[in-house]
Amino acid sequence: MSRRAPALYRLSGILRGIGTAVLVLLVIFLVTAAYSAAHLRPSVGGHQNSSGIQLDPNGTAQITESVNLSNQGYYSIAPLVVQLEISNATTGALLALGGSPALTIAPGANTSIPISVWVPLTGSSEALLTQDEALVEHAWVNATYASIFVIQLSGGDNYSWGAPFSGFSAAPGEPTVESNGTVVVPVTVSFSNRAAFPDQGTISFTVETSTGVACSTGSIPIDVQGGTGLYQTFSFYSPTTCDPAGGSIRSTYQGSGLDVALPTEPIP
Amino acid sequence: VTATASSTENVGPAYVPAPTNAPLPAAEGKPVLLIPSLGRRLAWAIVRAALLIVAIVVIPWYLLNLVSGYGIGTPVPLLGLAALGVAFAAVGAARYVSRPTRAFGPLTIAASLMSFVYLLYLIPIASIGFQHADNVSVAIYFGRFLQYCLLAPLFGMAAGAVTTYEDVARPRERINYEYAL
Repeated sequence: MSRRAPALYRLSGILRGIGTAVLVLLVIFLVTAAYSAAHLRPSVGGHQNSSGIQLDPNGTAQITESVNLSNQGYYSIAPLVVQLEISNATTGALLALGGSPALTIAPGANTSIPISVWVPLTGSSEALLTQDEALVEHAWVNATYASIFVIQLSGGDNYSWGAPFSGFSAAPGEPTVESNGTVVVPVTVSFSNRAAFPDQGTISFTVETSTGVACSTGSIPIDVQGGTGLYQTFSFYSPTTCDPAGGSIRSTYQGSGLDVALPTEPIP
Repeated sequence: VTATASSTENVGPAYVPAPTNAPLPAAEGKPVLLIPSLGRRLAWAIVRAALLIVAIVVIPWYLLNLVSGYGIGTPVPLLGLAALGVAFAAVGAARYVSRPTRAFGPLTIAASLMSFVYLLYLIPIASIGFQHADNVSVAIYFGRFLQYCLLAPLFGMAAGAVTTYEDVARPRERINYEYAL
């Protein structure tokens, strides 16, 4: 017949047992978490990813990507946040920031993570309008797995930027004097749209004298799809009193929320 | 197996096998205790300490070295891990040897306190990381997991405190119960 253990002895044993049980439960949790994590399937670079670029009405280029993440384990990922920045590969200048909203990926779910980066095409990034650039994309992923494990992932990749007015040129031809006394200035406009979005809007020109006086102005509507280009000559008329020789041609583009100056061309 | 009658000493070596036809000791008010000898306890303590060192020093050391070959690193210092692991095993062995004495409670607290401090030390640096293809790096932080692990030594310290109190307030109650024939 077994004797009853003393009360304090029992209490000590219970406390020790709880400590051991906590440890055993934590070990079981750790093993199942590791097993579950092995069933995470991010589809990076696969055909399930999609990426695109579009021009927002506020004049920024929005690059969107989506990455699929299949969580076939037992524990959720919450929150998962992606932060992204784009900088110039040559100068290192920061050009754009973006990322994803904070997401919760439930166990058993197959979730698409939308990632957006907004690249301003004005101000310090205006060169992106006319110059193709080698850019560097750097991403940080912060995620909490199974409410306990914090995962931080960072990576970088190269990104080729195709300018929407790549190689823009508004080259003046030889001015000629018409019989009515006006001067005709032929201007050949050429560029390639190497972006994925169309150039839809208006290009306005101002032919100026060497002192900055506007001789004539004009505008042309354009609709140049991505991957195509424009090569066209336009004639601008100015009065004989206005000599554009030695002056310049100023060009601006208005459309898709953009109102930006394009490179100025000197008139010989 | 050796046995001895209850004595005033903390550790009572047992030498005389109780005869099968002997009167029940409890009836005389002095329970017969079956306390393993010091040598036997020392031997078992060494075996336990060796197994513990393998479990918490050798295997983690081997695994960390193994994964470091794949570029997986951790800021946890291996030497500190080994030193604290050996110290923890030594305290655990001393605790095991002292089980039939009043030192058992305080040593239980000491062993739990040591693992508690060790976990506190690890929490801010508990991470593993690796580099992939020169441009992707991954770090996994498990400090919060270790925070939950702190519960186990906390309960261990509480159990040690209760044992210490029991051994002081009710001398020999635990020993008489644990080692009664």
